[in-house]
Order: sequence, then structure tokens, then C-alpha cells
Amino acid sequence: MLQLFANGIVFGSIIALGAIGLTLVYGILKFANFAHGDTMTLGAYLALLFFNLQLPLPIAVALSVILSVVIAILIDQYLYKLFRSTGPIILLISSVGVALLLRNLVLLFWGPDLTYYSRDIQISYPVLPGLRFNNTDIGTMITAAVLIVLVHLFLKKTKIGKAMRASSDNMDLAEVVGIDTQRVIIWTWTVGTALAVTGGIMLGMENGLRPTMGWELLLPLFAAAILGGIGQPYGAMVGGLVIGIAQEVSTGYISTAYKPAVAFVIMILVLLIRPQGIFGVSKRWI
Amino acid sequence: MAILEVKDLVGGYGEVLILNGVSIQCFDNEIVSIIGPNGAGKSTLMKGVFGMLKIKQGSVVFDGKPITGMRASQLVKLGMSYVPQDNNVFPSLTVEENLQMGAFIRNDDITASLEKVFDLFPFIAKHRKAVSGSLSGGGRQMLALGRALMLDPKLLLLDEPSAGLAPLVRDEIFEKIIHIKQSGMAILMVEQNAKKALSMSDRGYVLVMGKNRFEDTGRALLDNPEVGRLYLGSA
Amino acid sequence: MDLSGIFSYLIFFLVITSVYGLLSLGLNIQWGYTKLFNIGIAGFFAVGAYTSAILTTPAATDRIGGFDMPFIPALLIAVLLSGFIAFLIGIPTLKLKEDYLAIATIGIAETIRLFFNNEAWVGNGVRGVSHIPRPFHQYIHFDYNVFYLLLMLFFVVCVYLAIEKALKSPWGRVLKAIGEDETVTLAMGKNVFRYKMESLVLGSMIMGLAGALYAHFIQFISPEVFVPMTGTFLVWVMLISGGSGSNKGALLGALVIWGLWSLTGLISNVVPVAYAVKVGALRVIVIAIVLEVILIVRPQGILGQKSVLQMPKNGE
Repeated sequence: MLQLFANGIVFGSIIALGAIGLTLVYGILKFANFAHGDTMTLGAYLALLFFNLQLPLPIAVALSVILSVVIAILIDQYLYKLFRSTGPIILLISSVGVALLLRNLVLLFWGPDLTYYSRDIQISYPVLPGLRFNNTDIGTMITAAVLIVLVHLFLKKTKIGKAMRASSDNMDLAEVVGIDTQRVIIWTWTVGTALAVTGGIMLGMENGLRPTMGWELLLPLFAAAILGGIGQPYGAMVGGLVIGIAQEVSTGYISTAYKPAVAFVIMILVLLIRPQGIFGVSKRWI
Repeated sequence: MAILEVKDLVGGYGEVLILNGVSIQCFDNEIVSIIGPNGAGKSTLMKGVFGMLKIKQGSVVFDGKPITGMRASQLVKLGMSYVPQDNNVFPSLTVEENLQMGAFIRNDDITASLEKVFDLFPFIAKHRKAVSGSLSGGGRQMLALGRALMLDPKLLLLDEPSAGLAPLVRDEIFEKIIHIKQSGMAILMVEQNAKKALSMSDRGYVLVMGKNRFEDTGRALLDNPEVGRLYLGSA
Repeated sequence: MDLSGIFSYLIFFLVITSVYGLLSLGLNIQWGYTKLFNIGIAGFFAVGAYTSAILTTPAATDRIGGFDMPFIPALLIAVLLSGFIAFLIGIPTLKLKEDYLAIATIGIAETIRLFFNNEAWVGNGVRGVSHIPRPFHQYIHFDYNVFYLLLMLFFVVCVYLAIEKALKSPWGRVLKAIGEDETVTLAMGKNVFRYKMESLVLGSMIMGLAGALYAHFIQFISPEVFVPMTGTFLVWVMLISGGSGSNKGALLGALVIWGLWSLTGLISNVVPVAYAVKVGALRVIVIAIVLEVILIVRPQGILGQKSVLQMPKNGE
């Protein structure tokens, strides 16, 4: 059980990283980005590309983050921007199209089979009685923790971070006050995509890469974001961990195949009992 | 020279025209109030000045520059600050962060401006670390005013600053507004509380059905029996 | 390819187009009129398909079966069960905003797929249900596929006429009002929840019907029958390109998009098997690009009206 709980923290960290980006985009741009999971997939595979070019891991990761951010910003500026005044539904539909595009591009270039960053077998070593971690697990948790702290500092201490929180509260007021909302939007995609890509890479390290890896995470990502309170980045962090732990612990009782169903049930419960989530403000939920 | 000159402004939402040719002026160091019945176009006029409305005809000139239809973000850079009627603070940000956001376009050190706002509003100085959503209506209104001042604007646009506030708090807000004017600012104010607004204004305009109806000093409008009968009834 | 080969292919093509046509009609009631964002189409399709399959096939080891029901009662039960599942789903989810409903319906479709995948005692897991009987086989002495096409067209026409009538009735007008402005409709005193539920259930029953008819044609059904999301995505693109809110548009969209999809499928026939999956990916990319282009250039679709996808901002 302890092992399951610990596994939950590892995967919960990955979900949290994805959920933060999802919730930021929802809070500021007011749309549910269904392509977010596949953004994680894209990032993971780009890293694979660079890694296979014999680039050292940190460079591969950095390059795939930068490239993914550029792609995300281009998609926003040349596609989503066209629909901003039309409404959230057309944006949702469009993002589903983008999701399928990204996923199938990955499928096209890399094929459907499971791949790995490295063929080395990971040795897991005991940390506590009944608890084992391998290097990837530890790396994942540390990286996620560091990134979360950085995001926190960014949102709390930097001018643009505060502007992002302000825009999430009230975009119209942000315009009135003179906040450069265009810059805020670009930064939102940057932060959200960077976190997602890192999460995707870590997921690839943990479980290997498949073209559907990000899409399969979409339900848990939304569940985490909704649980934490949509638009609340701190909520997404907590939500991610909760969903991750719930999913892993559930495998002790029901078949592993039903993991996504666990996230789904939690999400439905949240929407029925406390739709604004843990940190959500009631009025946002309209 | 007027800091703000609005000439024959015609505009509205979509096909519906709310403003049918409104002209007003605002000079430095004065409070100008816009009053009138509901639907007269008072708030719409303010939105028209601040670039949030579709202008069909007419012009707006600010500080000698034509600004008709310019976006809010540009007007803020030119020295105009706008306080909307409600939802005028960022609820999840602290008081201090709200003020910092007010000074977003500034790249210089804002400590002096912060201190000035805290001096003017000791209440929000006391609660500078509080999350704005937890403040009372009066506190939020003061914060909204303070935020607008962070830019050291040349013109302050206030949309119903006393709306929804208890009488004591209302009086306090109006006091602060007078104080702000005394520092040399031009203030254009839309108010439902017509009597109070006129009593503190240098000049006022009465709008009816999107057109100018009366224009005079605040005092004169207050004493005007026709204005009194029609529009100052219960305020 | 010889003439009889082309003819066979054409029949097959039109039967599947009819299946998608029914799915689009069902989605049109839910999305085109009531603005219910149902991405769980695959789930209702699966329920209809599996129900009819299980009820009509003879007994099999390691799964429930042996009902040996004739076609029409089985079909009826399949349709009703799809509607019932929709009803259960509607209870918690219909109060949600569109984008939350979207994610909820994905979750439901996923759960249904996992259920059929895992619970082998129901549908034999990944091996699926095979040897699904062809209805009325013993009475048909000409090309059975042609008969099935006529059967499909019969259903399509019946459903089309029934829906047209229903949507033009006062009931349908309330659905449209809900889709355009739910708050106003609520203020008018209409029990919005009930209408949304009726829309959801009716649309899902049609989707279940499509599933059952598909199962009896292909004679085999498995959890992968709707490759996760691809089938659902195709139906959405069909409705959007044909014109949301228009039944004719739904059918036209089914024809056009299935035609495009099949066209790209022909390419995969001439390509070595090793590339099959990659070509499959390319086909989806083509449809995805078509969707984005339509959204940019003509979001109301071929036969739709302009206002359908324009949502006015609050207060404006």
C-alpha cells in the first residue's frame, strides 16, 4: 500500500505539471484546451528525437521545451486567436482537431509502438520497508517539486506572473488597468506548455512513449484541474497529487485498466458536490 | 484648454444607439459630474471616452490629441485612468498586488506612488497584504480608486463610485474624491446619487436619452428647480 | 477492379455512410439543437452494438449469451438500453456547462470502452462478439448486402422524417431555444433539464440504433470498433461540415466526410502493409485539417445557419 501511495506521488507530480498548464489556459483564455495532453506527447517525442541525435539529456529537454513552446504559441496566434471573440465551444472543437493533428503527426513519424529513451534497465532500491524507488521516480519527484516552486515564485513575485493571476481573475479589468494582455497570453502558453512538455518527458521516462500517452492523461488532467478549482494553479498542483495517488491506490482494489475511470469518478463527484473545486471561487463557476 | 473634449458623440451597442450626440468638457483641477435618469447614457458615455464602445460619429480629444475609439491599453499610456462600477479589483490578488497592477505600464520605481495611495487611504494601507476579495465593498472601492491613481493620471474617470455602498462609506469615498481633485487632477464622474455628486462638483451635465439637457456649475444645477424636480428627487 | 467489385464496394460504402448518417442525426438533436456537447458518441454506439449482438448470438463459452433473440426485439432492446444509459449519464452531467459536459462524456465513453474491454464475461473482452446473425437472411434470395443497404436506408429515412417532424414541433423549438440561450428559456418557465434529458436520450437511442445495425452488418463487434476517438471525431466533423442544426446537413456531412475518409483509405490499399498505421495517421490528419479549415472559413457548415456557432459574449 505504501508503494502504491508513493507511486501515486510520482505520477501525481506528472499530472500536476500538466494540470497547471491546463488550468492557467482555462483561467486566462477561458477555454478547455483538449490538445494539452497531446502537447505532452509532442514534447516527449521531440525529446526522444534530440536524445537519439546523441544530445545530452538536459540539452534534449531544453530544446524540446523551446520548440514545443514556439509551436504552441504559433497555434494560438494563428488559429485559436481567430476564435477568441466567437466563443469557448468553437475553441474546444478546434483544440480537439489540434489534439488529433499532434497525436497523428507523432504516429506518422514515430509509429505506434512503445519506445524508450534508453534501453537501460532501471534498478529500484528500497527506501523504506515496503517502499522502492528507482532513479527516474526520484528524478521525477524532485524535478516536479522544483518546477512547482519556480512556478509559485513566478506567479507571486514577478510582474508578469501577477499580471497572469490578474488576467485570470478578470481579463476585461486587466485591459482597463493597462496590463499588456497580449504578453500575458504569450507567457501563459509558454509556462503551460513548458510544464506540460516536462511532464510528458518524465512520463516517457517512467512508462515509455506511445503516441496516445498524452491523450490518455487528458481525463486525469481535467479531473485534477477541476478538483483543485479551474483557473487556480495551486489547486492544480494539489489536484494532480490527489488524482495520482487515488489512481495508483485504486489498483490495489480494482483492475489497473480502470485507472482513468477513477479520475473520472472523482471529477463527477467534485462537479456534483463542490463544483468550484478546492480553491475555486464560487462566482467563477458560471 | 480642456483636458477632455467630447463633441457630438454618437454610439451604442450594435444597432442600438445610446448616445445621440453628447458634448462635454473637462478641465484640470475640477470635478465634473454626469447625472441623469437611468438609461440616459451616463455610463455609456464613459465607456465611449475610454474606448470601450463603437463610436459612430463625433470625436473625443484628450490632452490635445484625438483619441476617438482608441483602445483602453493605449489610453492608459496617455494618462487616463478608469474605475469601472463593479468588478473593479482583482479578487485573488492582495491589496498591494492590485496597486502594483495599476502601475503595470510604468517601468520606474513605484514606491512613491504607493506611499501616496497609502497616505490617502489608511484603510488599505492597514490591509495591504489582505486578499482583495475579502475586503468589504467600501474597502474594494477605495482600492479601486487607489489603483487608478498609481498611474499619476491626468484624467480620472469614475463610474458610479458610491454604488452599493452604505451611507457612511459613501461619504468617505466622496471625501477622498474631493481630496484627489485638490491635488490638481481632472475628474469626470458618473453618479446616480445626483444631489451629492453635484454638491461636490465644479460643473455638471445632465444627460437625457443620450443627449445634453442641462449644463452648469454644480451649485447652479442643484438650485435649478427643474433639475431638482425631475432628477434630484430621492437621491 | 472489375465492375462487380466496384459495385460491392459502393454498397459497403453506402451502408457505412448510412450508419454514420444515423449517428450524425442523433448528434444533431443533441448538439445541433440543444447544444449538448456529447463526445461520448462511441459509448452509446457500443452499447447498442453489444446489446443487439449479445442478444442475438447463440450461447458462447466465457461470456453471457444464448438468448438467441430474433432481430427486431433485440434491436428494440438495444435502442432502449442506449437511451437508458444516456438517462443515467444525464442525471449528474446535464447541469454542467458545455465544456465540462464535453469532458464528462469523454470519460463516460472511455469507461464504457474499458468495461467492454475488461469484463470478458459480457462481451468477450478484446476478442469481441462474432458470428452476429444477419437479420432475415433466410428470406433474401438476392445480394444480401443490397438488401441490407435498403434496410439501412429505410431506417435512415424513417429516423430523418421522425426527427424532422419532432424538431419542427413546439418541443423542437424549445430545444433550439435552450441551445441559443438557456437562461432565457429557463426564465420562460420551461423545465430546461427535462428537455435536455429528452434530447440526450433521443439522440443516444439513435446512436444505439446505428451501433446495432452496424453490428449486424459487419457481424463482428469489439471494443476497438470505434478506434478511440477517431469514429467520434468523424461524426463531429460530419455534423460541423454538413451544418449543425440541419438534418439534411447531418446526412450530407456524413456522405462527404465518409467519402473523403474512404478516399484516403483507398490510398492505404495501394501502400505496403508496413505503412498501414502511418497512412492511417495521415488520414486522420487530413480530416483534422479539413475541420480547422471549416471552422475558420465557414463554421456554420454547408447547410447550417450563421448564428449557430456564434456565441454572444455575456452582457453584449
